[in-house]
Amino acid sequence: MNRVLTALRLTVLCTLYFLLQGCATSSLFTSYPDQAAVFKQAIVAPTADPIAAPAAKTALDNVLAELNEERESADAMLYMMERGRLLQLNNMYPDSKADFNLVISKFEEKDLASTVEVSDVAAQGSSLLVNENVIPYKGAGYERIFTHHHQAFNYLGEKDIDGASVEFRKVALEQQILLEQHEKEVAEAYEEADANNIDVSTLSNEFAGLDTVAGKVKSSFQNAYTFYTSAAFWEASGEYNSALVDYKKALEINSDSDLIKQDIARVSKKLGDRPARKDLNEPKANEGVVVVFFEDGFVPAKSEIKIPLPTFDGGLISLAFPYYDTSLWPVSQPLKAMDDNFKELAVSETVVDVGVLAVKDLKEQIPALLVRQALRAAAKYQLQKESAKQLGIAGQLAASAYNIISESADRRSWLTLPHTGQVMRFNLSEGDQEVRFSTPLTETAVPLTIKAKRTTFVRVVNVNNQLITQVYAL
Amino acid sequence: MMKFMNIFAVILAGLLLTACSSQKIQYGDATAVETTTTGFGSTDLQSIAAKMVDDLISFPPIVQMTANRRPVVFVDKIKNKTTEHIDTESITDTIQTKLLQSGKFRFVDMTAVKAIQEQMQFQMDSGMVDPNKAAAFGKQTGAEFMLYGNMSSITKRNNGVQDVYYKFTLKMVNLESGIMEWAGEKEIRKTGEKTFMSM
Repeated sequence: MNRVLTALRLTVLCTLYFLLQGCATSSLFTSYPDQAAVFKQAIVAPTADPIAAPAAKTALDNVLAELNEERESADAMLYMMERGRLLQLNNMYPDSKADFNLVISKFEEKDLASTVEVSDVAAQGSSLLVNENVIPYKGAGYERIFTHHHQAFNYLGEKDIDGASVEFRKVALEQQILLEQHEKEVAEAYEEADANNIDVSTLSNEFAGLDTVAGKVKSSFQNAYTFYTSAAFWEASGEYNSALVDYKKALEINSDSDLIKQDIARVSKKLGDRPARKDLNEPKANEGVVVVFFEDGFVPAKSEIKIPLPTFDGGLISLAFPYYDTSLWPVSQPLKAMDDNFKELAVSETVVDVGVLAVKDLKEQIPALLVRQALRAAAKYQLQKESAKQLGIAGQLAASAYNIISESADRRSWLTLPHTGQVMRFNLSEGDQEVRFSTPLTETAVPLTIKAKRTTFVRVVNVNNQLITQVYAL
Repeated sequence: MMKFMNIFAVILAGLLLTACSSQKIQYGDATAVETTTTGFGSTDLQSIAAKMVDDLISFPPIVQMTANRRPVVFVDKIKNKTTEHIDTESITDTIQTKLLQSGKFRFVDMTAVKAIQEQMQFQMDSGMVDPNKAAAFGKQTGAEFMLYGNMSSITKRNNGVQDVYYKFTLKMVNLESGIMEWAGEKEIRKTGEKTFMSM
C-alpha cells in the first residue's frame, strides 16, 4: 500500500513538473537547434514566381504564428529575437520593431533585477530535477548588441533617422558596458604585450588613440560589424566625430583592414586633418556612396556531449554539456559587387565572426554551468536511490531512464543571426543603377537610385543559398 | 528524500500562485513623482518644462522686453541626442503651453501651417465663404524669436547600479539679428540600484 502511495506521489509530482514546464519553455525536450531549423528555413528571398510565392508566404506565416505563441513563455526573449529578424528580413519593420522592443525591455529588466529572485530560484531549483533548459533564457551580451543593431535598421526601414540614431547611440553604450565588464582581460593583454616587447606606438597621426593590443581581446566580445555600421551611419549623417570614433573601434578589432584605415583617413580629412594617404574612396561631385552590409550564413549552434556515469549501486547518471564544434563550421564566403558591365566595384571584407562571440559567451558561462551540473547529478542520484529503496529495481530503472532522457544540454542561442558580418563601400554616379552581387554560389541584381553626395545602405543576407537584399536610402 | 520533494512542492506551489496574480487598475496624480525605471519619465518632462519657463520669464532682459508687448516666437525641434526614444515635441509642447499661459509670449505653430493653408484656400476658392469675412492671405505675423535646443544623456551601468544623467538645453535666438537672447539648462541625475530580493 505504502509503495503504491509513493509511486502515486512520484507520478503526481512528475506530471506537475511536465505541466509547469510545458508552459515554461519548449526547448525542454526538443533541442533548440532542431526547433530553430524550421525558423531558418523560413527565411527566403521574396519571389515573383506565382507558384513559389504563396507557398513561401504560408510557410513564413506559420513560423511567425508559431513563434508568436512563445511571446508569454519563459524564453520569450529568445523567440522574439528570432521573430524580429525574420520579420525584418521580410521588410515588416513595425512588427519587427515591436518584437525587438520586447527583447530590449527584457534585457533592461535584468539590468536592475534583484540579486535573489524567488521565481528565478524556483526555476534553478526545478532545473536540478530536469535540465538547464528550465532556466528562463537570459540573452547574451553579443545578442543584446545585435538586438539594437537590428532595431536601428527597423528605424531606417521606417525612414526614421532620429530613431535610428538613438539605437546607434544605445548600441555604443552597450558595447562600452561589455568592455567595462571585460576590463581585466584587456589589462592582462597589455601586460602580455609589455612582457613581449610589442610596440603599440608605431602608428601614424590619424590613428592616434588606437589600441591593437586590446583589440585582440575585444574581438571576442565587441562587435566590429555594429561599430562599422554605426560609423557609416554617422558619416552619412554628417556627424564625423562619432563616425571617427566608431571606425577606430572597428579598426582596433580588425587591425589589418585597409578598408577601415581608408575610412578613418577620409573622415579625418572631413574633420580638417591632412591624412598621409591619397586614395580616400571619396565620391566625386556627381556620385553617391553605397555601403554594403553583407551577412553570410547562420551562426553555428551549440552541440551537445552526453557523459553517462555509472553509480556505485548499479544505476546510471547522465551529464550533458553544450559546446561549439568548430570543426563543423563552414568557411564564410565574401561578396562581390559588379556594375552593369560586370566591372568589379568592390569585394566585401569580414569584420565580425559571430561564432567567435558566441564561443566566448559560452566560455564565460561554464563555471556556473559546472556547479549546476554537479548539483543536478547529486539530486538525480538521490532520486534514483530513493526510487530503488521504495520501488525496487523497477523504480531504479525508471529513475535511470528518466535521468538519461531528461538530461540535455542548454543549446539555446539566437540562431537566425549570421555567421559573419562583412562590409564594403564604393561610389556610383547618380541616377538609376543596377548593381550585381555575387558569392561563389549565388547572385542577384539590385536596382538602386543613387543621389549625388547621398549615402545608400544595401544589406545583403546570404541564407539558404539565396541572396536577400534590402536598400535603405539615407 | 521526502523532505527534498516537499521543498520542491512548496516552490512549485509558489510558482503557480505567482502566475495567477490578477491586475489592479487605478487613477493617479499626473504630477506625482514617478520612479518606475531610470528611463526618461513624466517627472523629468515636468521638471524640465517648469525650469525652462521659470528661467525664461524671470530673466531680466526678457522681463523688460515683455513688459509692454508679447513677442511672437516659433519653436524649432529639440534634437534628441540621448540613448532613449524620447518624444521631444511633447517637452516643447509643455514649454510652449506654459509660456503662452504666462501671457508674455505668443506663438506661431509651424505644425499647423499646412492645415491653415488648406483652410484659407477653402475660404478663398470654394465660393462658400463670404469674401468679406474670409481670412486674407499675407496677413500673418512672422515670428521674432526662435526657440531650439537639444537633449543629451550619459548612462553608466556596472554591477547592478545604473546612473543616468540628462542635460536639456534650450536657447532663444532673435531671428533678425541672429543674437542669442537667452539660454537655459536643466540637469537631471537618476540612479537605480539592485535590491537584494524580489519575487
